[in-house]
Amino acid sequence: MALSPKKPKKLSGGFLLILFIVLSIVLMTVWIREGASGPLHSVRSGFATITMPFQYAGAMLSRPFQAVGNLTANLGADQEDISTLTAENEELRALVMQLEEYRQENERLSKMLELADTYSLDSTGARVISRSADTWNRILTIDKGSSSGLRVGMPVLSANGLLGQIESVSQFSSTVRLITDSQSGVAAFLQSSRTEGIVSGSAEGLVYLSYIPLTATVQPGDVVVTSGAGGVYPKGIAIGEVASVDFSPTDVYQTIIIKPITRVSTYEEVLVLVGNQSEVKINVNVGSQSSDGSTDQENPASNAESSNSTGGSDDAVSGSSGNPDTPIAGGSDGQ
Amino acid sequence: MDNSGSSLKPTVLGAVITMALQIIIAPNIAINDVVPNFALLFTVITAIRYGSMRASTVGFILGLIYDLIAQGPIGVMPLVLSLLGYGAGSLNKGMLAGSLPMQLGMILVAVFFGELLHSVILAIIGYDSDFLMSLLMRVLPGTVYDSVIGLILLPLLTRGDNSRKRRSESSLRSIDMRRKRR
Repeated sequence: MALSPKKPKKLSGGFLLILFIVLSIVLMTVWIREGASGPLHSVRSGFATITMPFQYAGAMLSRPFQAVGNLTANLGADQEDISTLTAENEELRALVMQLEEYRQENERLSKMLELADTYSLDSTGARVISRSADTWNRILTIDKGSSSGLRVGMPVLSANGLLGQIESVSQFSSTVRLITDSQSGVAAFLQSSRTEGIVSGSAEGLVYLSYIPLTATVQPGDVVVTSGAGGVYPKGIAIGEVASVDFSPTDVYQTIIIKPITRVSTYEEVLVLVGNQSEVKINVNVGSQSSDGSTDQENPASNAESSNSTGGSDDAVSGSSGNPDTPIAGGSDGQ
Repeated sequence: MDNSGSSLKPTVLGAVITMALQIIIAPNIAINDVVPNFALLFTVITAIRYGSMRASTVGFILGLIYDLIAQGPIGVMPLVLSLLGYGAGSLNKGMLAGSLPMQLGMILVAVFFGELLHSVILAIIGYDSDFLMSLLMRVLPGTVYDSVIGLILLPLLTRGDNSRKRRSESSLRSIDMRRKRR
């Protein structure tokens, strides 16, 4: 019997498909089980660093087209006037909300001396370089990352109010999950009644305020601000106002839809809250008191704020080392 | 039609262009937060042109890159696209060889099943809590958007193929003519 040369074995399509299915399931399992510092998250972070210049180029390329789109949308009016007035209007509304928050807090807490100002926040500006590359996540990519001191969990604001939270950080860019995303959740309350709930996004693009009982009086136009519960977002940041309220007598909670104050598509720059000045001040005070021989118990209000702030940053860090939604869970725990 | 033995060059080039489009263009042409999925489209087109084996490989690789760009769980899109590439390639081999309207119909169906499968897997692993709303607000608009882009791209690619074929046929004819003259 003559020996014929062996043909190299060719992979069959079915075998290849099974291999890909197994590999995909392994990847999914690893991704779900690993923390934010796991290998797949690190690969994604590295990939984000590589793709950042391309995303930036895309944003630059699209800017003139977006301007043309805006122009055609507002035919019949002077584009510059409309932009200026819209921006001014949004800023003023945010300012009114913020001032109302300050006024109410001032009334409640004016008797409590030596309370740290929770609104003196350290922030850094960043430029939006890209928006979501898929339909399932509402995110932004900004041009600052770990090299600028940004960390997972830090709140991100526009000039008017809350935008979202940093979900992942690479060296020169970060990804921000918006409050309109269905994976997002923010501890919030109604400014008028102080009733607390959770603001969350949804697949349909609406933003809901959940867990508001039927007994609470809610009117369209009521302002919703962050409650500070959970320690991730500072208290009093404007989120939006109530657009509609709906419930039936058999419901446990009201269905409240919120109109966010920030319109994500219009922003090219954002602010990232990198720390709280009051936290620093309090720590400095505590240090000086200790050196004088007095104890921390002399100022319980400051201590409470200090521990809250520290808890907040801890939460944010825990978000980086584990589930990025940890701060959100913290928010709900605070209810 | 299984052309898995043909040159890899156009597939690799197409895959690179696809991912460049996904990174650079797709986020900027989103309509109401619906972002076109070029990776899915290219996998289906590869299945139509080259068959199941190459399509499932392309699907897996592009799916992996897609998941690295996006913020969802890694591994979902490779699973979806490798299954879709294999399925679409197998169907195309048996039923749809050569007919442009059938291929256009197949893009529509494949894109819908791809988006639907993605949604189902996300719901199973607990990433998406409201399946019905996602079906209405993400799967269906995504299918329409992807299909429109696919319906534009496929005839363009087919026209490119036809002109390439005509060029190669005419050059063969001219070679024959020269030989006959000699």
